Amino acid sequence: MSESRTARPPLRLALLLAARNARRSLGRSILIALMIAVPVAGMSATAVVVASSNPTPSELAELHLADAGSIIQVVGAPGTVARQAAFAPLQGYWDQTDPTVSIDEFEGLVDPASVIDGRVVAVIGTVATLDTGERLRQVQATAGDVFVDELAGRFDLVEGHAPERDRELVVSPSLADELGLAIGDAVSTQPDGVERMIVGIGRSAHDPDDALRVFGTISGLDAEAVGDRTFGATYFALDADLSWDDVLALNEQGLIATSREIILGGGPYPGAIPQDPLASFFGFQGQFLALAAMIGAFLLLQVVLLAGAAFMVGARQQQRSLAVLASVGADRRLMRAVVTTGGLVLGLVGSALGVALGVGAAAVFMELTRSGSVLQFPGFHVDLVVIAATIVVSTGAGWLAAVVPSRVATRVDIVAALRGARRPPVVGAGARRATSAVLAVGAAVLASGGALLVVLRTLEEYPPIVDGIAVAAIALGAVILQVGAVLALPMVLRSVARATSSARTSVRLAARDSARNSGRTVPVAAAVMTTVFLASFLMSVFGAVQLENEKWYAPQAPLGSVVMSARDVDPITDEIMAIDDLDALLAGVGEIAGAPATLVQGVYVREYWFDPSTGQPLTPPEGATVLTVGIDEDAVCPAYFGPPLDATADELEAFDAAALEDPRCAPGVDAGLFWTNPLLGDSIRVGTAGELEVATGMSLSAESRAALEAGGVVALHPAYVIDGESELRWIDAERFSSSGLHAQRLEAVRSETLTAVVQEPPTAVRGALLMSPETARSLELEVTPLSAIAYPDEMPGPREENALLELSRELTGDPWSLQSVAESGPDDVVGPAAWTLVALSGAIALTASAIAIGLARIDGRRDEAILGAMGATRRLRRSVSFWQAVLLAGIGAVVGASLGLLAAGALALPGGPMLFAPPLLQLGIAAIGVPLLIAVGAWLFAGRATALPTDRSAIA
Amino acid sequence: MSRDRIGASELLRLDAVSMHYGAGENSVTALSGVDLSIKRGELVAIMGASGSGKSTLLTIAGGLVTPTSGEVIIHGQYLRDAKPAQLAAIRRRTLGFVFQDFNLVPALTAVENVSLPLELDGWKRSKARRAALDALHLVELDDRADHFPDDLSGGQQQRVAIARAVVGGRALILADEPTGALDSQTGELVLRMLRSRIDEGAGGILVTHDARHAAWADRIVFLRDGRVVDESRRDDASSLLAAGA
Repeated sequence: MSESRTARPPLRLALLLAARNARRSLGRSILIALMIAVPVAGMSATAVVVASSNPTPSELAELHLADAGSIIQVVGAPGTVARQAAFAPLQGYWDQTDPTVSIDEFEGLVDPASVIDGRVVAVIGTVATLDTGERLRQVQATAGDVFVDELAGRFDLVEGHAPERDRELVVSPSLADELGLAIGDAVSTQPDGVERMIVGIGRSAHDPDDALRVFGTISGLDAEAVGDRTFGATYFALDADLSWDDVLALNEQGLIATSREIILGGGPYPGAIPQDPLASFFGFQGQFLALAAMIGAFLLLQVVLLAGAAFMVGARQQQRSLAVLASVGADRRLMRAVVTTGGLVLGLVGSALGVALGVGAAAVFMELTRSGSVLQFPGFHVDLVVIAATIVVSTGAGWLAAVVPSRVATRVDIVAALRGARRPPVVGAGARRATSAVLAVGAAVLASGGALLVVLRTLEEYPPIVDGIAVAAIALGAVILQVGAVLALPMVLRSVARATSSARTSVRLAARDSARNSGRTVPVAAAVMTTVFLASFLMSVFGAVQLENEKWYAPQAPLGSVVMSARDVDPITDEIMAIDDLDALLAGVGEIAGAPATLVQGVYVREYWFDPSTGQPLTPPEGATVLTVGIDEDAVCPAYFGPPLDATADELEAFDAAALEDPRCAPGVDAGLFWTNPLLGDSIRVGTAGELEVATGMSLSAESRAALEAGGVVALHPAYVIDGESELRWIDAERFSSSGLHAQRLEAVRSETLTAVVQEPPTAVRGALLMSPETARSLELEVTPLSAIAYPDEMPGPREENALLELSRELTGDPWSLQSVAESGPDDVVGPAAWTLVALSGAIALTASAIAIGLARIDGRRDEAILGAMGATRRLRRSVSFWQAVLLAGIGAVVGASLGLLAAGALALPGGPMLFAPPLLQLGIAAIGVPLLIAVGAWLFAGRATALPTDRSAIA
Repeated sequence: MSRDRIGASELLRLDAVSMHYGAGENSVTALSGVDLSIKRGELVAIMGASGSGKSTLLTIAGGLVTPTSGEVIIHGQYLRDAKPAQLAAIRRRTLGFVFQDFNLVPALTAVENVSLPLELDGWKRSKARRAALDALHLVELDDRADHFPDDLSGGQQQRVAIARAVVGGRALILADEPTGALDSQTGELVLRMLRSRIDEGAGGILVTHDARHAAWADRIVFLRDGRVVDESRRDDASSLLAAGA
């Protein structure tokens, strides 16, 4: 008996069968190819956009030099430049001979014009403030003679002529629109107030279309001193196309330079800093590409799972064909190769489709997002290396998706398959043992990581890397647990099937179909699980970041309010006092907020620290006092009062260490405490209950109102109340400003004790006490207007902030004279991110479930037809789809969310790197809402009944 | 068990083949001590009621299933000793199956289905195709060579299956109810072609429950509950079947 003549399965035959099977099952093939195409398209598009953001050498020369020969920058004095990168200052960096010397310390800088033959144009970047009388804008400014022919394409004059005198300006088209300027108009610059003439409209090719930029002469824009003409200045050598030797000579003069000849010459550049081939990888774009690659890899994992399910169904449908192959002498390798080659073929088709879609999408994206700056997308570049790698990886993913189904396909009962049976594979005891082992290992690794974190916290010293090991163990444990969960899913599904054996028909059918066809259903549940796991984990991370933000956030005013100070520094006396036109202030703030504004009043406290006009320490008038509010020292962080004045170094260190551990010193505990800003945040607010509610952004409790009416006060922080009373303490002004002690430690020359209740605002408010006008009068306190406050319907933002600046200028002539704030609270990190994650995980889960249900319908067509023939209604089919979706998406989502929370919880253990603050609403929607939505979708889109095939070959 | 040398003309021999499924109280005996020999030019019909073990015998003879005990010898090769690759090689070179449901690969044309075992065996594609076309010529399907199974009638599909079973000089044809899915006229045509291939030097087993089809065989073996209960030559069988009828 001779051995087989074929050492390997005939690839042609496998390819032929794979291609023909793909064509015969066109719907499934398109589905798989599209699944692969989507992440490939994303990755390809990213690769094209990233590559298109990087100029080629010729583009680099064109973008920066236009028709000039070279570009030069002064970076130090002669002898201070060790070497430079060939394309510096455009790309790369340079080394100083002595890195410890600051550029500010250099003397004898060389003017490039003195060492370069031909014309040299100095261009200095600065800022300017333009004032049209109606509008004020701080804008970018370019000083220098930039509108020369050689720099056309880099700087272009659209209309008019270049600035020739100091009082002439050219403005960018957007700035002209923004300020309503035209050639011939006058505009003044601030703070010098000099009136200047607009003589042209021009733009820098590096600017986006909406850039606000002004061009002028160097002296006209007062740019002569900017950075001593070093880093702020760029010098264009219009005629000199420097050689590399010329550049080396310039280096000796403290200059760095590059030229068209150098950029296009291709080197070599002896003595240059070599180009780091990995530099772009570690740069922003490289990181962006890496992020895209990680997202792409995650999506490909989902594809492997979902396409694996599709291949499993395909392999099941091909069982008879595969059995025929076996009956005519095909060995297992060929049978496997037929299925895996299908994966390769569809992977390749999906990849090619994805690349085409991605490149097209990139072109559309670039066109839609084009800002007008030539730097944004210097060209349209297709990064062949990244795209080739993407194709290889995604084609491999297609192959990988088919590997497990191919192995299952070869385990079929050939005889039964030849007779048309499609029995699902049976899970053995070995698989159960392996599952338990993987779950145990995952739990152990995760628990070890958590325990390590807790233990580390108790140690005084340990290598920093151990922290990383603990975090890595938690992450690894979570991943292993997921693998274990995937392995356990078939058993879970079987348990569910057993548990539902007495349930209604639809539930029973759904559970049994899911359990009997785990090859099809498990990958889908796994796809949902991994997605929701990642989403819930990331949501927890964002939640932790948000919590951290909120803890450290110090609000300037009540949340959601627009506030402007009613006090200004008197230009004659330098005293801080209320402005005259309070009605205009209230009207202005009310108009900006779109809501009525209220005047807030308070007790003005003169502190006598410094003379407002000279900044020198001030000697207070004889007998002057400073009003303070007594503090319960046990209620506040000891660091507030500072260490003992005679503390030794060791004592200071111990004091600081104790503060770190003291819960009274935790961030946020003292938010709102100890604010003493005489312009905006008096310690004592005075007003009616209604006015004080507006001032603090909270409703006063009945107890607070009663205290105010009874001549008491409302404390905004518990530290201001000792034994139910608050103490007003007048401190001798001279001792207050010169003793160096905290006012709390100084003896009061007068004090008044008032009954007090505590009511803390929902967001901390600057201030200590609330008081009625009657009480203030009885204590002879000087009450003056403090600020105007209003609450717009929507959360205020930059628009309101700009409007407040303009209101200040209207009222005082100075935009920054009246302090103002539009308080929108800490940035909402978690909201948008968590909703995005909900949307993304929902989309992936929906896709996965749609695929699952579609595959179930394909796979169970005959069963469904038999049910139909027996009189089953569409309602039953809907119900089966519904429960199958509930089961698969539900198990996947709940397990995924649980594991995500488990990992996040472990990382939030004492000593861990984050807090535990998952956004429960979004998490609940991801874990419960999405599966329910999927189930409803499955109910609604359950298809029509399938006719019972009459020809047995139809199921072959 | 003795390992007698198989006769030169003997294509297949089953020695005391038994097949049991399950274990203990759930054990089911599909075949029990079956002896059978097939020579070149001989077609043996296996008859019996449903569940008598006919198809099990056929799959054991084809090396698709290993018997619980006993020996299967094809062309002198003991299948029990054969590795999976060797079993696959036997199926490629020595024997061919014909099934009731044709079992053609739907993704392959008629000629590709027929050339499949040859290509699997490493034949050059052109040579395999020529041999497949010759085989299709024998079953009078030259003009349907490039049609897919879905485009062929049941009878044509079964003739393709016969061509596939004999292509490349394979000598042992194992036919499991080859006419079961065909009308009587087409069934007759298929059996005539099967007989024709046997007469040209092949050997074969025909599993059937139809006495008229069994009449095409040289011998008829009757199975009941997995045992051979009777065996007769064709002439004897004709009278026996006639009497039974």
